[in-house]
Amino acid sequence: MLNQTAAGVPNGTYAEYVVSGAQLGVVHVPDTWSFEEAAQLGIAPLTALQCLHQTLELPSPFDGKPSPQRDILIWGGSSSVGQYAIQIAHLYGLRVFTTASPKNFELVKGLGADEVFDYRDAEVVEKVRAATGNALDIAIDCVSEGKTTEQVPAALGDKGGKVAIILPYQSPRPDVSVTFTLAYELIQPVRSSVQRFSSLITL
Amino acid sequence: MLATGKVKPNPVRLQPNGIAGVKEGLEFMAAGKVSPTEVASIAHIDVVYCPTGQRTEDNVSYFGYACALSVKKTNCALEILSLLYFVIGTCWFNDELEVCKLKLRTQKTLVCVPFRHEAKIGHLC
Repeated sequence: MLNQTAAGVPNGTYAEYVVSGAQLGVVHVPDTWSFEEAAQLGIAPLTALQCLHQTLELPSPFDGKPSPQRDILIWGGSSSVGQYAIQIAHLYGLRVFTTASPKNFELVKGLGADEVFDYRDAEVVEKVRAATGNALDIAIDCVSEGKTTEQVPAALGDKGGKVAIILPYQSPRPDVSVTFTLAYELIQPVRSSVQRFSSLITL
Repeated sequence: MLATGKVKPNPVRLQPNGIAGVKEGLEFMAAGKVSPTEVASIAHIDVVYCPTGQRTEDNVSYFGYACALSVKKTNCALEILSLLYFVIGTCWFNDELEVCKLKLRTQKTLVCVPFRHEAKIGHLC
């Protein structure tokens, strides 16, 4: 990576120089990405990967694709994490169900979503359950507040499953586990700040 | 995945005026002109000044709180904070210390080293 444009998540910016661990958090920025676009690489795509591979325990991208026709729900598909989660899940061969506002349907479909539901639809949970044959067992809640704390666990099938969440909340279903993760966990020194920050925005 | 172009970045709205654009961006969102979660990067932060002697982390935290309070309960606050924790620039490694150093593309920034690495920064620079 010597003398290449790189992006990363070091502890502390606002500086002319910053120092980062060599094994964590620096990636080569493709020539096709602008600096402004590369500014996204620190949190959203890493959070998407953590949700998919740590929380939901899907195979590593280097272990081959998961079994065909496995379904995943990505609630809030047009969010920053959601857009990356859709793309990565699609690359792994998952069948991607997502929610968005109608104006973003084409955006999320273009990223690889197989079916999109209007999150404002009063019957959206029932529609997801029907589309997945009441067998959905993994989901990512890219909103993780308000109604979604009930809707996403409820969209899973009769046997329950796992939901990766990006803001902490309790599962309303005993057969559905929810696990909070954010890429900030990769940078331990700032974790306390992030926890305080998270508590502020969830007041 | 990035190099192959199979993963695309989020659409970006770029606010002018550097750090001052953050406030304008927040007001833009507060006015309901854009869905908060669609905004991946609301400001192009070239230069950010820290008070002399102020810890870098403190400044990041304070600014994060300000954003959080401004946008209240929107996930966009997380995206804003992520931008603050993020740097891009030219990277090179120092094998001896097993760290890499990123130099921001702007030369107008203040000298404010990450406090946890103060002991090393002199050597690195």
